[in-house]
Amino acid sequence: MDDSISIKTENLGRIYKKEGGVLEALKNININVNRGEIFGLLGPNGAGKTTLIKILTTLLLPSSGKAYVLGYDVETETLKIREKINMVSGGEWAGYGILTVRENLWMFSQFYGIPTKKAKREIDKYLEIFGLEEDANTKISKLSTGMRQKMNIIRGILSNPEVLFLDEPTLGLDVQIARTVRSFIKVWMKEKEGRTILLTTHYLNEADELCNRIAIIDNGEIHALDTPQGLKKILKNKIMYSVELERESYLNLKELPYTTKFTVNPLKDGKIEVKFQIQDENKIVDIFNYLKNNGFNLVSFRKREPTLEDVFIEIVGKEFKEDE
Amino acid sequence: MGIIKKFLNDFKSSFYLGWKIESNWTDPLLFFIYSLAKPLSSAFILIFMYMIISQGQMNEMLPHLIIGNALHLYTANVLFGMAWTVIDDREFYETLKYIYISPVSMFQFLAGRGFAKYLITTISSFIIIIFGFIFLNVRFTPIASWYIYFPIFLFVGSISLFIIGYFFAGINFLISRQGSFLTQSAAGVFLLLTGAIFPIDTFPGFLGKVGIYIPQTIWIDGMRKILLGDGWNSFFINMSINRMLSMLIIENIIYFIIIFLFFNFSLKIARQRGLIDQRTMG
Repeated sequence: MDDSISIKTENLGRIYKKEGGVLEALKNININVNRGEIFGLLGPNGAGKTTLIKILTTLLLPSSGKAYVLGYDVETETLKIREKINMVSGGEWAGYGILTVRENLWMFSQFYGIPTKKAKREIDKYLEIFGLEEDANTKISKLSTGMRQKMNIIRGILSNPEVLFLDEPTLGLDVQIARTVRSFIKVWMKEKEGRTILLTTHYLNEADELCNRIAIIDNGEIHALDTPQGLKKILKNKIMYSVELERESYLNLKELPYTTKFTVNPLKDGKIEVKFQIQDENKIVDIFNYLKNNGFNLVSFRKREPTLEDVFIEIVGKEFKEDE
Repeated sequence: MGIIKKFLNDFKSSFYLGWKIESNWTDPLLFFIYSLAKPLSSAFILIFMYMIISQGQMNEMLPHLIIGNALHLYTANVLFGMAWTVIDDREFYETLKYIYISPVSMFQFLAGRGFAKYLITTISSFIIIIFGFIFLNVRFTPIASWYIYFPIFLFVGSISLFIIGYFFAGINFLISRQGSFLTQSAAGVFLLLTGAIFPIDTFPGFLGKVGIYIPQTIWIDGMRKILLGDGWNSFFINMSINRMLSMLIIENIIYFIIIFLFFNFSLKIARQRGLIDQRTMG
């Protein structure tokens, strides 16, 4: 395998046997993740992101196809892979609550054979970076979700992995902590050449901010793979608007003439935000008239740049919803 | 890092974790009191139950009961404790997947965790035996050279605990919440079939024979023979301690080969089915 490639999959598939049938969680996945890049897997819940990470981290066997991490086969060369990778998952409560932050981290460092002195030095360094130094001797059962996730991120990087798998690392975190985590990820990548991160997220802004390339995944299939800018170019000829409307609470906007890919998001005070694309910019006045005639009062409108959400809707053909 | 150094390092880390989990939930003094009170209270409960059943005529059985109960603690805490570790770390601490994808082998990890339970159980077990000799009038009438046989038998029997522990741990990798029921039920079955409480030759038909093929049965009866002399053995009364030791070693080897294969097979199946990080409790 080419040395510049960290992760490679060839027609990778995974099925789960369920009562009354089979669930195809991954279908013929082919990706190459380059050394030194943050590669994003963007998709709603159940898209197959975590299944792919599980296979690549040797936690799960594929049903078909092949996968390689740093040139090693995930099925047969697990130990070689495990020495060089680590993983952090979000939205969970992992850790031995009876141990302190420092004890938890030290213990995991030992599983990677890091000499105690070095491990303690590194633990102190990262505790300071994440602002956890005062909680170093606190039992982790007493930590908040955000602090616990910070500790888990330290656990993930303590072994200095060549490939780090981040599975929804900011899931459930408040805005400030999520921002700290994202900033750290960028710094960590710059700190040493050749590190690779495979990041799964269903936060579009997170993928946009962090990733060098993004694969859009849904129903176990990769629908598109490009840089964030490249993906947005798919929509370069589309005219996009976002309008804010007031309406009576019983009114629902089910269709909007002259538009495509329109989505409705509820806002505060009963207002709604409607996003849509139009082919002919001259139709915008007709659209506003239609809204007014149907009981929707225009509060504001703006022409906007495409986001990854628009790309997702364009490619997958449905709205990006977290609870899918 | 050399293989032995790596093994010791992994063992040390998982032992440290096991020790902390077992002992770090309270302050040292309370833990000490608990370590004394727990085995003694469980032994007393058993003795009183026995007294009621035998209408006070239990002097003959008391030494049998004391040694059996003390050693069954190992089975309950170490053997089934190792198995329970899989469920605890997978479902309660949610750490099993991170340990699984680290370079540490599950075999070593469980050995370290089991060894922490082993040390704590040794304290409890010895307390019961010493208490029995001092306060319950159990007569210490050991066989010749008991001081040689005792550590050897203790060591070989302890190995069997770990071996069978891997078997139940392997099962727990494959099942979900039923693991807790299985572990509890199996501990009860072991209490019965290993002759810890009732002599196995009093069992009907095949049940006694099943007991012989469980290494803990030979271990417990061997330890009785070493500490109490020849009169206290039931099934192995006519067997020399050397023969019992040989039998235990042979059973250990056979079980080790079978269970080693089974444990690795279980891990493979668990990985195939995506069970390493499953959560089924709450």
